[in-house]
Amino acid sequence: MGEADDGSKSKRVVFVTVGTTCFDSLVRAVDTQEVREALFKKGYTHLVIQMGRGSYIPTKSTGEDGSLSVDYFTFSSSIAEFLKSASLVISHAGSGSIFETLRLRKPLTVVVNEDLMDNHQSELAEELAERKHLFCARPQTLYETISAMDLILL
Amino acid sequence: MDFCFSLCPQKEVYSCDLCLYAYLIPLRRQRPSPRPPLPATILIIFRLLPKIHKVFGMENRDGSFFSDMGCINASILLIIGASTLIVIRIFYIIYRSSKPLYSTPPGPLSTLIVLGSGGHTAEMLNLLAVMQMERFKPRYYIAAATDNMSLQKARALEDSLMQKSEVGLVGTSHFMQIYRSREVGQSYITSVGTTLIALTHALWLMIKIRPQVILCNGPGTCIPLCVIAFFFKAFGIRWSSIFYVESIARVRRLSLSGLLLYKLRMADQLFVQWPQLKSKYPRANYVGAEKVGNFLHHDLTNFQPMNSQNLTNFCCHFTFSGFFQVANSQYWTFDEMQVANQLAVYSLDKT
Repeated sequence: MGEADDGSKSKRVVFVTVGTTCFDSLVRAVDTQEVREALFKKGYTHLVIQMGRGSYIPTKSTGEDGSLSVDYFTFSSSIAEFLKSASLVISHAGSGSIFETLRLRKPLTVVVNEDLMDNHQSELAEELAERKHLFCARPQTLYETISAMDLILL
Repeated sequence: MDFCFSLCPQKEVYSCDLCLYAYLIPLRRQRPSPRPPLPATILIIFRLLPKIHKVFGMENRDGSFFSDMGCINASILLIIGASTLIVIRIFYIIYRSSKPLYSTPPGPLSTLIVLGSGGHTAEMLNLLAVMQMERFKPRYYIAAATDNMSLQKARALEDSLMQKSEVGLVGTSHFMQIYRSREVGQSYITSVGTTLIALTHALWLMIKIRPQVILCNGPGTCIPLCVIAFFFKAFGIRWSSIFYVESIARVRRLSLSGLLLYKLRMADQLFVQWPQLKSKYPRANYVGAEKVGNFLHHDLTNFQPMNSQNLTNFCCHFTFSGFFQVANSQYWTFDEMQVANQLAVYSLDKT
């Protein structure tokens, strides 16, 4: 990855996507203070959340006070653009999002939605995590995963 | 009777009306046809009917009680016979289903494509993009009535096909919607009614389409259609080959619809994309990445983390849409190509 380039120093974006689903617990987990700080500590400057059909509204922040800048939207036709500009993607476990991100060669952390009835999505995420293509987390373990995350392992 | 049997291998036997064997000979002669002639089986029952009746009637001519008994016996015999025939027919279909249907390449086959929703539709359309469409025409797309996106995407794919190829080569495409048997969160009591409506609707669509190939990859939308296709096979209305491609998201367990089609042996071929599934369900066809070449085995041990080529290859390997990026790569054949090829093998020809 060309993250050490001069351009990426100023802006390193974390893109959170939930696809077309409703996945409030992920948005809420990302919105917590500790996760934000962990991301900021890792050198990320911007947090963009695609929140889909969820009802939980994250708090916006301009990031002027030397913290993570936070922005969100519900849906966009240019998800691919957001993925391309991101330095880290935090995604729901849908196969479409997973493979689209991997194809763009972006570091990926997948958060499995445990509220779903028939939770087959975790199968794919866990299998690919075992093969070291991505990190797999739950909403409540997102903080630990992010702070322990070492992108060299991917 | 002796006269009959002695003549049976000859043609004269057709004229012999007394010998039961005569009814079996024509059946054997018709073997070369790919499916057993169902009308012939029905014909046999009907032609044997008076004979059975006569046998019982003659034995018990002297008392009305015995005559009644004869009738009852005859009807029991008839029911047993009919159900045996049905069971044999079903077993035959199950046996026949997993075999290639034609020995020579037939003309284009009418194809029914069931679009699930969301990720299922995306996978299906990616698969269609690498299939030889001129062999599968006309194409009928079916999506759930509540699913607006899938048919739009299918239309876009068909439009791009039309632009790319000559007129008439890819054939026509038709788009339809089907009622769903159960919406998310619907109560079980009302879903009995909606399931019946959905089945009737599926039956109506299937009567209209009568496809030769059914291509589906879940979720439940495809089940009523597949069940009806199976009954069409059983009743000799239409022989449709059912192909089910399990989603890449299924690693350890088949989805419910996949499991149903596998266990009931309704799908002619079931494709899985992970080796774990293949070992668990041996009758499934494995079309994932690891079988082809030793790409994964090799690279898992010394996998270059952000080596662009590796990761692109890997993703191409696992996803359908990446196919064209490395289409000329010499490393391996692709999962989607394998599926497409195998589809061609099982539905079209042996080569």
